[in-house]
Amino acid sequence: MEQAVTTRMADRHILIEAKTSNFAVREVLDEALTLLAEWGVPAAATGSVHIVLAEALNNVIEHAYDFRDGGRFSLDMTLEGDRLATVIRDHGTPFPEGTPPDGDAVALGGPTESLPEGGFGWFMIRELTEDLSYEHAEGCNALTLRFLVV
Amino acid sequence: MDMSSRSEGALQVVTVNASRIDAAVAIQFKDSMRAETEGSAGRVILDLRQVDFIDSSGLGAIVAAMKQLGAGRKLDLAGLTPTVESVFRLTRMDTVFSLFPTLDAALMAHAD
Repeated sequence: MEQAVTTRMADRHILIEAKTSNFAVREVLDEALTLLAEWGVPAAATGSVHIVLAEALNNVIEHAYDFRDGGRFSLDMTLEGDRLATVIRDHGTPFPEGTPPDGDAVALGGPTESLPEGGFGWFMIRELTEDLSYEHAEGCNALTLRFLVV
Repeated sequence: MDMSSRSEGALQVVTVNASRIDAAVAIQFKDSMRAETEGSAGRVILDLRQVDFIDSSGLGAIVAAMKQLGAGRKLDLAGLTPTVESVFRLTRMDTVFSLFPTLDAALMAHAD
């Protein structure tokens, strides 16, 4: 099984490269969380980053690469003061409308049998990030997610 | 998915012995929950003290597990760690499930 590869680009700037597989998202997240702890990011802020990156990386596996193994993707993280910038890149299918989903809140009223089991991911990403932007160029998707990590 | 189950009077306590309920294991979680709860009746307390993290797939799997219990049975959640609790509050799923800070609190809430 291929392991995630981490390159230290500069002080508090790293690039983690991996290929899609059953546990690739966990591997990349574990690397990222270890580094955030090293960089002194507080636990509550790290929790929010964990949630957002898990959703965005799951999206790469499920939608960019349609659950295929072996798809290349990367997570680039830079911390400057209390601003964390993350960029997730892949070479898979772009967002259908050329833009990430709105992530509207999911309605929860009604009987138990009709409770939703999905649709929460993009809502959480948008709630927990300061800023989100997306670019598709030359076959590469780049999703930038910025956080205030106080 | 590693889980264990025991009875506490009319209640069933199901303990998740894994640290994550995420996309990698959501289906296994649902299947394991069905296996643990289909032969019993009454309220189920899901002990999440060892779970550090859930993603939206994990949340959906917990909702599915509640639906699997069938009409008249409740799934209560105990021992949520900080990130797990924040997922429930952010999605307002804390209005759908009863959340207890400790397993004892969940057990005492049903002791009549």
